Amino acid sequence: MRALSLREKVLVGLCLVVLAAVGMVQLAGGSQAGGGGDLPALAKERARLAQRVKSLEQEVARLSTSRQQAVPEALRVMDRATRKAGATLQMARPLRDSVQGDLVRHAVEFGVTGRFPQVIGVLESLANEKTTMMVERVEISAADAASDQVQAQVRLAGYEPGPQSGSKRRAQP
Amino acid sequence: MGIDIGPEWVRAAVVAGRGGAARLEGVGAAPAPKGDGERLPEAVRRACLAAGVGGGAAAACLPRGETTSRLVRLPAAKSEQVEQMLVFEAGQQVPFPAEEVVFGYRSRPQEPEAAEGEHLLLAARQGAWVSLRRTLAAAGLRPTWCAAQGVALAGLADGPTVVVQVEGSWTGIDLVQGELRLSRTTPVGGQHLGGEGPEALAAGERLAGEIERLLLACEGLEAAPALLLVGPGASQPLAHRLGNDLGLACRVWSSGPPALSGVAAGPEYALAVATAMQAVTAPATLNLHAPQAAASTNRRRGLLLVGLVALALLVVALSWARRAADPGQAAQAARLRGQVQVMRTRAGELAVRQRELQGRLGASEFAVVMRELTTRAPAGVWLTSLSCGRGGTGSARGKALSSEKVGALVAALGESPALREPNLTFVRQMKVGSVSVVEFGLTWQPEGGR
Repeated sequence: MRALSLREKVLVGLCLVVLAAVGMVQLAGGSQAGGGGDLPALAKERARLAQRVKSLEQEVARLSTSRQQAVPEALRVMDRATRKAGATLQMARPLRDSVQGDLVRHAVEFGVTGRFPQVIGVLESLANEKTTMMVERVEISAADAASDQVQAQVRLAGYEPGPQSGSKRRAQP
Repeated sequence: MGIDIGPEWVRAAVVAGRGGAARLEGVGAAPAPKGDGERLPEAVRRACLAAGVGGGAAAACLPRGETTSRLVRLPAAKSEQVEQMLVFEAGQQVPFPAEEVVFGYRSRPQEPEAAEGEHLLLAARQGAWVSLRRTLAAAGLRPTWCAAQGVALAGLADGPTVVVQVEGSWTGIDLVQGELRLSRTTPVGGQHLGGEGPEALAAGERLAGEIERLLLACEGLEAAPALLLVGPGASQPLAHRLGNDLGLACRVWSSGPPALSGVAAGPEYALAVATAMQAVTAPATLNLHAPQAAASTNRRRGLLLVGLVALALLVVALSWARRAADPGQAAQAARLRGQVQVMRTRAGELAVRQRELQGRLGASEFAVVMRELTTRAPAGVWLTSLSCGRGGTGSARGKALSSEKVGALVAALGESPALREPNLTFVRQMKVGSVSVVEFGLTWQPEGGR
């Protein structure tokens, strides 16, 4: 076959340019905007994620204790435990909030007196309470050497996500 | 059937025969429609009917201005190779694109060992050739032979001859010696040459001069040629004048050559008769045709190009249609992708918080540890203080009556499932009143703690 004429070369060149241009546009468009063919899959994924987010939010809310909730809840469970064990609740002192990682800790320290088994009973009651205020530290000391009277300091703490934790995490690359 | 389509008349001649002999069966003419190509087939049909035939095989010649002939020298080669080379030569020697050329050729006899061969190449623009064949087909005829007027008229010559075709406004001059050798056209025609006036005489002299120049341009003439006048402008007085001016024998065609017999016809039918005779006696001689290889190549290439263009257009159309139909869906998909991405991030953050909170709020074993310490302490050991933090090291202080009691306490705690790694931090002797006791301190790790 003889060589293409100038007119044929121009025609072939134009066709190739058109095909290449359209192909590149399609590739670029496909990677960015895409077509509408995956709409159902996207909608399904969004619904699944929405359900997952809702579930996690509920779980985090269940495990969290706000500043406003911390002291009343701690008093409630400690009063209930000491009453149940027969110990005496002598003192309650809210501690300063502190940040631990992404969480903010709200703590209350209690002074309890009673016989050693009663104090142990208080700890057992606290362990069985359905509450977000958990025993963080216990110190027991003998009141006098002649009896099993003890004094105990019990610290209850609850947590909630810090206000900056989400934005800090999102700011990370 | 030979057809001569002139500017004023369409003439037809019917020749029957086979091989070298032919017989003129009849001639006929019909006025040509001036400037109306659509009525030309009808004029052709009427001329054929006037000649006594309604249809059949027909031959015709292209006008002189539409054809060109060259004598081409090529290296000796096989006939099929010669044709391929002549296709190339036709493309080189005609003033229009090679793919628009139709051509015919005749190879001159050559010596078997000759290094080169001579070929008379006739070429024409394909458009004129196709138009002529369509006219014949539209008139109900079957085109068979199509060539140049000079080629056809060469068949009327017997020996070296100058065939002078006198038409109304022009004259064609063909020098024939066995075959067409040279052709020339001059704008001196029958309308200039008629009569005996000075203008006619001057026109005759110009025509004679043209013939003389043609003879001078031709080499290798075997003998003095004769003049043969044909065409509607041919006449005996003109023949006399030209013969006298050139010193050559000159006659007006009325019959012949010897191979042609049959009815008599005037010189105006000479071209039609010569065309028909060529088609009958030598149908392959310089018959114009499209180069087969080039034609098929061009067809394939045309299909390829058309396919490529169609593909490009299809791609563009599909792309356009997709974009035209999609803007809403594409925007919705982009919006959904953004929402999904945000939700994934949010779910990840919440999962981290959930794990952290669960880690902080796990069930405490303070009571169990405390109870283990007190119940496993042997008699004679008093614990004075206990301290225990979540997940951290626990510590205790106490007093014992002897060091053995302290050792027994550590050993008992070592067997407890609630704590591990009990260690004495200090042991010292002291007196409480008059009683000598041992004060001690110990630590442990909660089971499962760090």
